[in-house]
Amino acid sequence: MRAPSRRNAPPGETIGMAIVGLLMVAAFVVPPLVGGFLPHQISTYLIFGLFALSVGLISGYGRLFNIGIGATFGVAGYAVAMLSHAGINEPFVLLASALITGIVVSLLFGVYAILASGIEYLMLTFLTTLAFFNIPLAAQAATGGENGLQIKAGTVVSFGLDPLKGNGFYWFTLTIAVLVAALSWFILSSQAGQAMRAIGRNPARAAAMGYNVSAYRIALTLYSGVVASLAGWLYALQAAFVFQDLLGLANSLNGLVYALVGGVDSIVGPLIGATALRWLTERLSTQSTQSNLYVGIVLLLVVLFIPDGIVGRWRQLWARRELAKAGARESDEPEVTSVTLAGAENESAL
Amino acid sequence: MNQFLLQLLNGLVVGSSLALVASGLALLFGVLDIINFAQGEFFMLGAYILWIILGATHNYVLGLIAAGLVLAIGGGLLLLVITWPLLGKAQVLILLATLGVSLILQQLALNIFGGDAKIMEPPIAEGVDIGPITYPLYDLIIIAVGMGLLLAGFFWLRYAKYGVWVRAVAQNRSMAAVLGVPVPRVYLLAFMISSGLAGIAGGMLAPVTSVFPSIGGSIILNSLIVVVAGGLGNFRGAAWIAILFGEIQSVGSIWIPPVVVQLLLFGLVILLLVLRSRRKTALVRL
Repeated sequence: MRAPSRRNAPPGETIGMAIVGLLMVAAFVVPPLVGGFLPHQISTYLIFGLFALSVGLISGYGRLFNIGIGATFGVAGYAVAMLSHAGINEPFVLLASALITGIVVSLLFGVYAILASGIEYLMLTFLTTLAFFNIPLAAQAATGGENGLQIKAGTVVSFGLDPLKGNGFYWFTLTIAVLVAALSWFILSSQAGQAMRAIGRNPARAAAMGYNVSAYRIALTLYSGVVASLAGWLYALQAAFVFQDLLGLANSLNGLVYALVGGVDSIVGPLIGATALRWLTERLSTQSTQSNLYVGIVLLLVVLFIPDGIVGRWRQLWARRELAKAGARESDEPEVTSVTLAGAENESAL
Repeated sequence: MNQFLLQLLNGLVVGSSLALVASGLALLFGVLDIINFAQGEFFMLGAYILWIILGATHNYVLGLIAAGLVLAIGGGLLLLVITWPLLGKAQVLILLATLGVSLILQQLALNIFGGDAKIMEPPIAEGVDIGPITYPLYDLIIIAVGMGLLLAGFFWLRYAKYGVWVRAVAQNRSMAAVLGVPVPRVYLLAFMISSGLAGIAGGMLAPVTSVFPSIGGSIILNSLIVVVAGGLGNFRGAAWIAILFGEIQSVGSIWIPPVVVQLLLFGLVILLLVLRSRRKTALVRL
């Protein structure tokens, strides 16, 4: 893995990174200053942002459209809950078990990636998340069934940080989110990341160039599983309660929608998308009971008009600006989205 | 024995209406590579239309026809408008678009009809004696009509002009277009048939299950599983598997708790998909 290559930087990258840097600094400073419920709210956004990131990595970069990552997220959360009920509340043990169980689920997705692609892969992940959703119902005693499961032992499980009091937990979550985002950005900017992107765009071409398509896909799936498990672990610590819906289709689809709205082809996109959509649905559900309607409308609008998400749009606008500065005529505007979800170069199955 | 017979017949009722919805889905997938997440909501709307017509005119047949027609035309046009701009793009976008439609329709139904379950009386209340049990005649009619429609569908696909064209487009869109098949018309027809089937299924099952806004949720899940298990795009396969599913769920629940039956079915379908994928020989799994 060589150092990040800047030759293939998307348009508007420098300014984008500057803004992200500013946002990160602001995130460390502002919510604790504002106080009240804001740190808790932002940490929820960050947790679901990480979840969306794991979906975005596998669906955006890898073009393996996975609507089952809720299973990974939920399993990690349930692992924490079930262990805490068994009396185990050592924080690192819980973290390890969350990661291990999540990785096991990801291995399943990895197997699917080897055996199937495109719509069959999507359907396999769909069935998997449905199956996992039903498991608590089948094993009521251990998992709490429909009622969900609490995480016991209070703040011991979260290294003594209380999610509801003080800013410790918020900074903890924020640090993890920033580290994961930075690591993901570093990996994806490297040669391996470029290879992964190439495999996502056109597997046949990448295979012809000698890349081991299956190996890269499994690696990406496992990495995405680690991110999702971290998110699930953090969720369990913060909410102190896990329930069936985390495992199911609705949650998985939410992750995909967050990633899509923010822009699947980027690291910060899913985080933005998760924050934006969760904030929007929170605002709408307090004011009315029509949240399904609005989510549906937002989804339709995003899919029809900004399928590359917020970050994708940003890059498009910057690309046009750079082209204009370089002297291209108005009518020469080439399709700069040729390799994104909305573009013409969709030679792979999905 | 009584239980078994009862559940066997119940399975056929569930299975044949599931088959109608699922073959609509399979048709869309085969022709257009589209997964219509709103199919469950079309089912729900069909049921509501029947409820409206029954309330106004007490004419069941009229209600059923209206359900089918309104969904065929309305659903067909809606799908056309939503999916046409997305046809060249990543498939998951269409899936998410239909998901958006499904959410909107659910909420609209909640607003217009309220969240309570609308109960309808079946038009025929008699029972029929089959061996030791008495089974509602209406349910038997559902089985008959469902099977009849499916059979008609098979023959239509095989022999009717547009049926053959649908299969041609499903097999090779560009070649069909080159050979003179009016592809956009085939698209629209596929949309209309798929939605119409869901509407009719909804109308038929409404007196049996009553209707409420979120009924579409489990319908779409079961239908998708059936379509996947039958082989995406395989219309006949989807129908058979739907009936099989209905039977397994009904009969299986005699001895095994329903949740476990569900899980077993999921596991079976996953295994089926995995095995089927492995049989396709490819040096690199692309």
